[in-house]
Amino acid sequence: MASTAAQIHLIRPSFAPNPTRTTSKSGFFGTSVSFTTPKSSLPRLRKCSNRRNHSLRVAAEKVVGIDLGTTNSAVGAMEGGKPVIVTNAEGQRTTPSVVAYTKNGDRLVGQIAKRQAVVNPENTFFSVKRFIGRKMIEVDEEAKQVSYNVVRDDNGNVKLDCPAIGKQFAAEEISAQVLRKLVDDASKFLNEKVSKAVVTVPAYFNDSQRTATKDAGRIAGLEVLRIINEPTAASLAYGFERKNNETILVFDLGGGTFDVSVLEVGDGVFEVLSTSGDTHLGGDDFDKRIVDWLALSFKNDEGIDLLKDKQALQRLTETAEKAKMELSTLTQANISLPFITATADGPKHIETTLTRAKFEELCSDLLDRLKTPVQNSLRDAKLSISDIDEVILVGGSTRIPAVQGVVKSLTGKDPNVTVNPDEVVALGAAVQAGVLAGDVSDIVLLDVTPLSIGLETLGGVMTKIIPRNTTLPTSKSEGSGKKQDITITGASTLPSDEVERMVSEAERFSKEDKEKRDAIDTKNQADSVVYQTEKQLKELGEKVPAEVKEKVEAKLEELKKAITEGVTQVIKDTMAALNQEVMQLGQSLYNQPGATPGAGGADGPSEASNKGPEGDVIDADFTDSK
Amino acid sequence: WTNSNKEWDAAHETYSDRETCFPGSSSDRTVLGLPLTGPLKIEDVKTAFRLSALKWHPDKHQGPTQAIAEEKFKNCADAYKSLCNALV
Repeated sequence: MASTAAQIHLIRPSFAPNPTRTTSKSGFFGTSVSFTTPKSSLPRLRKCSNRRNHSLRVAAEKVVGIDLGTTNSAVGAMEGGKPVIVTNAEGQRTTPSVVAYTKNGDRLVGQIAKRQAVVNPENTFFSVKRFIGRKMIEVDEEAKQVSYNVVRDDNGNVKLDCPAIGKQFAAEEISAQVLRKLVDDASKFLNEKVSKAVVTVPAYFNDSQRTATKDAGRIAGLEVLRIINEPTAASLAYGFERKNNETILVFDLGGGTFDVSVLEVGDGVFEVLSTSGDTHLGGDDFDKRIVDWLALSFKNDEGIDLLKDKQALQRLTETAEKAKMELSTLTQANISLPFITATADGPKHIETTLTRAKFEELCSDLLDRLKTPVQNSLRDAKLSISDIDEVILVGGSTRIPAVQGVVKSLTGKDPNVTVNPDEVVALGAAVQAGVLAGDVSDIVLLDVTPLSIGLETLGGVMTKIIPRNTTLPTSKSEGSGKKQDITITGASTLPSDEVERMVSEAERFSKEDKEKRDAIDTKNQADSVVYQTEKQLKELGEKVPAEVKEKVEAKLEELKKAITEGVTQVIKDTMAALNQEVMQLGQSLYNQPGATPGAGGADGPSEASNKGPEGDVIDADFTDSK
Repeated sequence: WTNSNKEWDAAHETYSDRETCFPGSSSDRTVLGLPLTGPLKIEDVKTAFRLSALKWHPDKHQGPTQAIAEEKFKNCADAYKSLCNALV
C-alpha cells in the first residue's frame, strides 16, 4: 500500500494548523519521509494548554491508551514502567462498546447496556464503529444488520435513531459515551484524573473515520493526543520488552474490521513497512452467517422470517456470537432459543446443533477474504513470507480455529500466542501514551497509513494528499477482488459547530448524571444512617443520657423528613448534623464512669458518615470492647 | 568522484559486493553520524537512523524543543531515505 506524496491539499481546515508531513513507504528499506510546511500553530496551542495545566493542577494526570473496538473496548495505562489493562467499574478487563437508552430515558453504557439489548433492540446501539465517519451510501449493508434504525441526515451522513428519547445521534456521540465511561472508570481505577488519551483505529480507517473518532473524544471531554493504528499498537505491546531486531506481521481480525500490518522492530524503533486490510470484515460477519443460517432453516420449517423481528434478530445474534465462541474450543455447539416467536399454533422454538465443520462451511468465503490483505501487505513491504520472524494475532476473532488455520497456511508458521488478542491493542496504545507523556523513553513509532488520504503520521499530524473527488479503490475491492471505486465527495464528519453543540450537550448530560447519582447515593446513605442510629439507640437503651437521646432523636426525625422531601443538599446537611449528635452520644457513653465505651454500633453511623461527601468527622477515641 | 563511483557500481557491481562500495553523500552520512567515506552497510545505516529517531523524533520532545527536533528528525529521515536508495 505504498502511498505517494504527490501533492498536498489541505481539505479540512480543522487540521490545517498542524504541521503537515507525509510518511510514505517507498523502497525496501523503510519509510520515506517528506515534510512540507512544518510551521504549526496547533502544537504550540497544545503546549500552552499543557503548561497551563501543569501550573494550575498539582494532581497527577495520566495519559491512557484506549482500544475503542467495534464490539468491545479496553483501556491501558503505564504503571510502574509497564503497560497494564485498567479494569472497569464492573471489574472487567474489556467493556462492551454498547450504549442504550431505556424507556424512561436512562442511559446505560457497557455490559449493563448489552444485557438488556434483547428487550430494547431499537434503543441499544452496538457496532457503532461501523458507522463512524461514514456516509450513508457507504454503509447500506451494515445498516441492515443492526437492530436500531440507521437514518440519513440532510448531509447524507449517518444518524442513529433513538425512539426512547426521541433523538437522533451521530455515531460520534454514541462512541463518546463509551469513551466517557472508559475514562471515568480508568480515573477511578488509577485514582488519577484522566483527560488525555491515545485512541486506536483500524489501519484502514480513512481520514473521515479518524477525524470522527477524534471528535468522539472531544465530545467525551477527552483530549485525544494521538490516533494510532491498531496493528501498530499491537506491535508496540508485543515488542515493548524485546530489543532484538525482528520483522513481524500483525494479523488483526476484530469485531468489525480486518487489518494486516508488517513492521520492522529494532533498537526500540517500530517502523511500519506496509499495511492492508478490509473495513467490512470482522467477527460480526461470522455471527451474521450463523444468524442467517438459523433464520433460513426456521423460515423453511415455519415460514416465518425472523430477521424482520428486531427482538428475535437480537436474540439470534447473541446466540450466534455465543455459539461461535464455543466452537473455538468445542467441535459442536448447541443452540437453544425457546419462544423465539409465536404463531396461531402457539410458541415456536429453535433447538439445533451447529458443528465446527458446518460453521467453517458457512464462513468459507469470509475465510477466503483473509488471504488477499496478507499477500498485499507482504508485497507492499517487498518481503516474502520467509522474511517474517513472528506472526502476532490480534482481535478476538483470531481465536476461531479456521482463522488460525488460514494464518498458518498463509505464513507457514505457528502464530505467536504470547499476547492476549483482546488486550494487546490497548496495551500498545498505553505504550504510545507513555511515549507522549515522557514516561517511555526508549521507544519510538514510525507509522504510515495505507490510504493516501489524510495521513496521520509521525507527530500525529494530518496531511491531505489526495484532493476531493478523487477515486480510490476501497477495501472491498481488496477482499473480493472486484474493482470497486468510491468517490470522496467531502467530509462525512460533523461540522465543527455541531461538534461544539455535542460537547456542551454531553457536558450537561454528564453533570445531570452526576447529580442524579449523587442524589441516589445520598438517599441510600441517609437511609443507612437512620437505620444504624435507630438500632444503636435501641441497643443502648437506658445507657444513653436522656438529654443526649432527645437531641439525637430530634435530628433523626429531621433526617427522615429530609429523606421524604428528597432535596439532596438538605439530606446531606441533616445527615451531618445527626452524625455530630451521634458522636456526642458516643462521647457521653465513654465519659460515663464504668461504662463500656463505644458499645454496640457506636461506630456504625460515623463509619457511614466517613464515606459521605460531608466526611468531616471528629475522630473520637473509641476502644473496641469486643 | 561520487558520480563516477556510481557508474562503476552500475557497470560492475554484483549483488554480493553491493555493500562494499562507497555510496551516499557525505552530508547524508554526517546527518546520521556515519563515517564520511568508506564502505557502508545497510544495517549500519539502519542502526544510525534508529538512534537518531529515538533522539530527535518529535514525540520525544513535547516541550519547546519540539520544533527544532522536528527539523532535525526530518533531516535524519531524508538522509536515511537517500542513503537507502543509494544502497539499493
